[in-house]
Amino acid sequence: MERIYTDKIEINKIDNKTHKKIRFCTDKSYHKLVFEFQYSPKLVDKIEDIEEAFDSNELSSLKNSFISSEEKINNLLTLSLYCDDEYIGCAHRHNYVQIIEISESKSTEGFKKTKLVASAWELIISVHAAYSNNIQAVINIYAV
Amino acid sequence: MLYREEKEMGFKWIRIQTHVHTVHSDGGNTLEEMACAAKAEKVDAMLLTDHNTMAGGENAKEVCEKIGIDIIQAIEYTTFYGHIIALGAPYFRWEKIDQYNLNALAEHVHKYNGIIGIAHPRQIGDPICTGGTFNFKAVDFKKIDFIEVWHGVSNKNNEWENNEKFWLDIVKFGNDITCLYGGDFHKKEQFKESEAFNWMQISEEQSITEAIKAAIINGRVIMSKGPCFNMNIKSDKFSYSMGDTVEGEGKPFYNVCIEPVKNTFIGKIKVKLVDNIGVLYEIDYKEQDKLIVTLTENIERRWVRTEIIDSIKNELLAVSNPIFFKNNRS
Repeated sequence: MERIYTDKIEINKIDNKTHKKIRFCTDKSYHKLVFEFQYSPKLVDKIEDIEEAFDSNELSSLKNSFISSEEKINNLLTLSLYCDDEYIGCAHRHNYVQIIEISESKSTEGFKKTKLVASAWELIISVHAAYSNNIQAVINIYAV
Repeated sequence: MLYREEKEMGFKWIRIQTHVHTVHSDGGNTLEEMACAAKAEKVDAMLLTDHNTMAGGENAKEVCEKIGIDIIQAIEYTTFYGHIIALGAPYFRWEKIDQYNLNALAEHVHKYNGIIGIAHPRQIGDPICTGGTFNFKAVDFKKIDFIEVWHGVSNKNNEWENNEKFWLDIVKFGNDITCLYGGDFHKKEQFKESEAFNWMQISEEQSITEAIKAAIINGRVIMSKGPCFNMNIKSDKFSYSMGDTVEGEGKPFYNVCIEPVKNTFIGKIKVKLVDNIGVLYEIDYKEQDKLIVTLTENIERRWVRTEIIDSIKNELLAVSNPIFFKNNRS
């Protein structure tokens, strides 16, 4: 398996509800592409971050119960893929470590089976929730 | 499973779940497992509404044929400002949807004769469930076909009442938007856990997808935990069903006819006729084939609907979509 792309992106509270785009190209056919996507921290555990997350919206009355109890709020990033401008899919799941495989015969759930020829790829990291600063998102792409 | 047929109209009632997730997003079961669970609860059809993907539809036909339940490909666009369900249109780049351009998504869906609806408008939102509450601005509600008023496995924190208030606030301005139940099932067990589903009156002349779209657009839907019924207003010239609009007949009174569908009214039941002002009529159901209520004209009346109540538990069992009155709109 050959790593053909790697990137690390820092996401902060100011990036909440934005999309980060990554573009890369493959110059030949492959049997399978493997996208390794992970981000951290998943849980928002700093009290000041929890306070700030609740202060700016209608649920501020719930703030104290989240600070004092076991319940936590999460940062949430998801990954969507386009190949030559065609939508391949999205892994809208709460796992903060995701391994996504794309091939002509089988793809990870959420993604269409796709023939892998030389193509222009677009990855969209959607920042559904960034309530912490310094969230580190890493993407590695491997080809087989 | 078919229930009572409206032979003279070529319609039939089906049970349908309109909001279902699988492993293709954050659901815990495969499409086949969810379809099996739906079939076990006598569901005739379900919309596949995974978050931001239609990949689950790749084996939908195979699952349909194997399990014997209609599966209609849809999608839940899980945006930062609300969750939007669409079916019948190609994928729309949801990252292009900002807080002010939901209308663009609606126009795209309608361009392909699809339908679009608002999921759980008053579900808990940020920061607990990101984007869970509907927060779009500058929305042309004439472009929206349906709203989930009943939502989820059960009614938590009065969400259903808050969703209904959201829907009523839109309806009062002349937007005849269909209301329906969205289970939002993420696990196969939820088909059984939730007592609610939609009865939908569909045409037998159309394909299942077209028939479901038409039923939703035309408001032929009952949110229900069991009871099913026909509701009509009949005049000399016309017959109006749920979802229809009575237009300017200028009559001093109307006869509303409520006909329970056999074997769906179980236990001690109360039937209520309600309009936007309040309760018009209430009666204990005693296995009548038909209930006819005469309404006198009221210029303040914008809509009328039927509610079915469990008399013992005082629990709402079913709510029809309204029949609207056009002359009385502001």
